[in-house]
Amino acid sequence: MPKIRGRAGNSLGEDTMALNITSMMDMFTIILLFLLKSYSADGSILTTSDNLSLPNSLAKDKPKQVKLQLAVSPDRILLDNKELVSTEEIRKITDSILVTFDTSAAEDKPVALQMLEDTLKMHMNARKQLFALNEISEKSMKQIIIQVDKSMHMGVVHNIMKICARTGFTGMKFAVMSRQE
Amino acid sequence: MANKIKTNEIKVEDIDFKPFMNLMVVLIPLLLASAQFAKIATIDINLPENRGSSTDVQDKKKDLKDKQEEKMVFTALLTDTAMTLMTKNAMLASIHYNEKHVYVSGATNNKDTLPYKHSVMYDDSGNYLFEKEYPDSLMRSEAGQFTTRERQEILLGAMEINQEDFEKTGKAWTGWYRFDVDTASGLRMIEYVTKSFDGDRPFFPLEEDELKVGDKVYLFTTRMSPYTRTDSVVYKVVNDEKEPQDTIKARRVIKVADMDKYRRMPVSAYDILKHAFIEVRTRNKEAKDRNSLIIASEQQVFYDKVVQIMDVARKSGLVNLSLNGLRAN
Repeated sequence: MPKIRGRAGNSLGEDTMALNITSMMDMFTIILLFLLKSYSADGSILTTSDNLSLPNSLAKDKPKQVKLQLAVSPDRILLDNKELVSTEEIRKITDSILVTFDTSAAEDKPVALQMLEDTLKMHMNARKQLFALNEISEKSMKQIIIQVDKSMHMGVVHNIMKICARTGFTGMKFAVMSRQE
Repeated sequence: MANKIKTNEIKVEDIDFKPFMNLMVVLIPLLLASAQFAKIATIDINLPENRGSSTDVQDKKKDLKDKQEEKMVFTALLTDTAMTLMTKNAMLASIHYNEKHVYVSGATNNKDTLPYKHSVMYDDSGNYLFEKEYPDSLMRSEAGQFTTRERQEILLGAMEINQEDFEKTGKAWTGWYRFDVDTASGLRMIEYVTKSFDGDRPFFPLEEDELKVGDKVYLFTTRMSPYTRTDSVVYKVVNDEKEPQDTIKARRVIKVADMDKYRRMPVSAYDILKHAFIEVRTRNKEAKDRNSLIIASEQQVFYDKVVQIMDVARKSGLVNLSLNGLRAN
């Protein structure tokens, strides 16, 4: 049988063809843009600490700015990812301790509560200075994002809210995992 | 024979990327489609009001101010076994519930629903034992052993209360649900069926003989299970704040035509709660704080249970939420 030969004399089957990667590049560009967009929209603003699982919720409001983050995990409380006090110490705080806190003697004040309050007040003072310089609004000065582990009891949440309010952080936002309906 | 150096010509060929590329082209869209990006959202919580923590004189002054301002002061009291709704003028009977926890294993993706036993965590005098761990043996099922952190959601099944003395009967409450298929999405819909509040038994689920062809009923749209709820509250931005415009849209009204679509089954406490939320809001249209709810909970109530109740409240139009503690005395 006669062989079909190309112009150079080789059989057609031996022709080499370069891989055309243009379409692949198009595809990767689109994927890259898609991924970048979806990450910049929500992922990078809030970081969840280890050993903390947020509750599921139907809420859809996204956190808009990076604010002060207070994380309450089952064993410790972290402010901006820095470990501060143990959660158990905060749970034990009663209403009467909070009410008389400012007037009671230094040795009667629970160490954990004192430490948490001092740190929050320090952040508040820094924010007040920024507010005085018109760098931030009054609303964002008072805002704090609170991440609480889903297995925590409400007693801890109430205490945390009261401590935040005492130190001037009255705009509380609770972080949750947004789930689909 | 002359010595010839035998040279083996090694022909270097480029790797054929085509099958690999084909695989990638199929794999990437598949992975992207099935990927679920964890999205973090936030819920705005208002400060607990000073009600009750100040002196009696201050309380009375505050009550008087509320009266003058036409506020309804809608409050949900939440304990480990019941929810009680109250406004400034009225207190509804408690919604008692039993609790089941849905777990999804992080390692194996196994899913199971286990009953939560409150009695294990309380001593004989009814005090919650904070220092005690919930026994691991109770979190073991056929699907495997779960950890507390793997809890996906908390299901609350309503417990029947007696119409005469409002005491628990110990049985699960059953009510009417409507089963249908949503024509737009093709999804199976399960909707909770109620009528308007009855003065004597406000949020009680309908009895077996209370539903007939031709009756006008309210349906609360739920999908797939009575515990996952969808609805359509319309919001409008007023002064930079989202305000629910027409909460009645959170439920729809139909006339019963085909009784085959209606079935009796155990009622979710969330559905009763939603019915009560919407009804109370509808009856207090003039109240200035008609979009507000105070959730006062006991110390030992789980945080994720409160978040789920907040979801129901938000979907019913109660968008201004405050958290407060229930005092022991």
